[in-house]
Amino acid sequence: MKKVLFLLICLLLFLRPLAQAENTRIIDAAGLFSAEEEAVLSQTITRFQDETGMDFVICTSDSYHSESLQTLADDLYDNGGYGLDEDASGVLYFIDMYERIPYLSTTGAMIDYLTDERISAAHEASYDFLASGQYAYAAEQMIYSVYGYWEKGIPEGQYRYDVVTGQRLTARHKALTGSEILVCALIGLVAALLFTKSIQGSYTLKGNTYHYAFRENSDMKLTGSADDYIRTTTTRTRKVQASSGGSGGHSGGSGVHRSSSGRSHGGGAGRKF
Amino acid sequence: MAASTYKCPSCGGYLAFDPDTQKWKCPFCDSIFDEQSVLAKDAPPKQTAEADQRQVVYRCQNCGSEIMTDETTVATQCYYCHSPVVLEGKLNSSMRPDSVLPFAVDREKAIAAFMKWVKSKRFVPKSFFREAQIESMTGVYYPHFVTDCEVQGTVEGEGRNMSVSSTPSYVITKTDHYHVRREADLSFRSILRPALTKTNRKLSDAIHPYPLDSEKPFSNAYLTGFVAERRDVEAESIRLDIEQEVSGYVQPLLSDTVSYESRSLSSSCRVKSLKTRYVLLPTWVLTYPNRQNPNDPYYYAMNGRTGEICGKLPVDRKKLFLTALGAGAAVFVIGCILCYFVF
Repeated sequence: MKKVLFLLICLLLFLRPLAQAENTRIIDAAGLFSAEEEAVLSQTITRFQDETGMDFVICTSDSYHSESLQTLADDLYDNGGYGLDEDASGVLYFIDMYERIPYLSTTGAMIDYLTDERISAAHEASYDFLASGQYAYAAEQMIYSVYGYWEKGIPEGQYRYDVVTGQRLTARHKALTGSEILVCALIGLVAALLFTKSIQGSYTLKGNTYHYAFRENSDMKLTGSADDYIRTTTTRTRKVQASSGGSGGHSGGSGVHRSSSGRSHGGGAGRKF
Repeated sequence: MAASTYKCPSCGGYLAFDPDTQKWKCPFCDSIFDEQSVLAKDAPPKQTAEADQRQVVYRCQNCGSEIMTDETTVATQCYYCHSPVVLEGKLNSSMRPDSVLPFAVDREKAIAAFMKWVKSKRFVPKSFFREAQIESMTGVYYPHFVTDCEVQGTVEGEGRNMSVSSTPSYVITKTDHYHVRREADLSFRSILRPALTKTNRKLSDAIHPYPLDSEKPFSNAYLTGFVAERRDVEAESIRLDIEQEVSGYVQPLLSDTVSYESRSLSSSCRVKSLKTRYVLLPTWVLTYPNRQNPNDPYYYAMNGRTGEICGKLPVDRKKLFLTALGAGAAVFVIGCILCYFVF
């Protein structure tokens, strides 16, 4: 009996990916995509799922909805049973044709990958396609944008916060950026070089080279000495009066006045000679 | 590498110069002989020809080093490049040194100082410590010229004294100008020049000063157990250099006797006498072959008088590289951890 059960579970596990492929991640209620477009998007989503292990759902609607777009998208994702891991990590891209607003709902780990800033940027990247009516392109672009952010990883310093209270819910995400690693590697390299140089230097001992101390090793006997007066020269310099000359203004400032034309000028007279 | 030469009058054993006591000691009967009793047997300075018969010169086939020692001291290996040396013959009498500064640091002390220095260096290849390697430490006398020189020097020029006074609106500066002349007889003692042009010379170049006041008249007895490089420079060839050096000292020395607030002087100098003597200066030497550049061996040199040292040690490149790599990696990891938790 146990064996049969085990086989059944194996079969189910084996069939799961197939079931997923059939279980479409595209709910095109507004009818924005052609059949081919839908097929392409579906393939792209499958690739996305394989690579990231997270889900991607595209949803379109052109009907009025009483609840907020946020609630609608979140509920759609939650109720649709999406998500591949236990946190149901993934993203739902909702194109609301009634209000003509796109919306991204993130769940699980995807919340950390897609910060507010990234979500705005991703919407920005798809905006032109939406505006020109190329919805399939907009959706595909969104998949690529999200995939790109997933590749980059959770940004350093990322945290979750409560949008209502503004309270921070998680600690800042710690990560090493590429430039940090590069700087550390450079410092490491410099340290290694300095170490090598200092060792090599300490293995050469300079010692004292020869220097003749001529004052200590010489004797002098004066045999002739003459100091003959030649002349006296005199120079007179007028003392600099602190208050003389100039306008006596601020030492650090520039006095400014206006000429008849109205233009500003600076200046000052010299000492009289 | 070297055996002693003078025989002990008591037992006939060979005497060796002992730097510690500055006397000659018989290693067999422990008799000690002072300068007078040993040197009396040596030829008096006027009969140098006979004494020179007791000095022999060995030549290194590889580096061209010419080392002299006394006739019973047997040299087999060049102390510098470790190649075999061959006996070239008796010393030419004109090459006999005038004086010698005997060793004052003995072999044990030299080796102990070397070991102390080198032990703190972790990247020295182990073979550098090998006993055979350390055994090859040799006491080498390096040839130098010591010159005493007498000159007549003159400085001449203008000296000025200034006084400053002041009226309510003027500052008055008065300058008295004098013609100044000083003449003096100057004597300079013991100006040193190496008497060797070969690269071996560098071993004795960086362990100055040598206390030249302890010089002794040369005798073969001081060479027992040691070797000496033979000079390859003639005294005449350093004369001009010495004269130039000395003339440079005239102005600063004579200017000291001129006391003006400001002065502009020029000097001239006439050499009256210049006496050069050929002196051997003691150095303990240990060299280690450099595979990359056989003519530039690693070395350790110690002033045989003051213990001043200089040297160039071999570095175990692989060990150094790996350690540097480890240090660099450690800095990298610490940096990364800091970046991760702090920034």
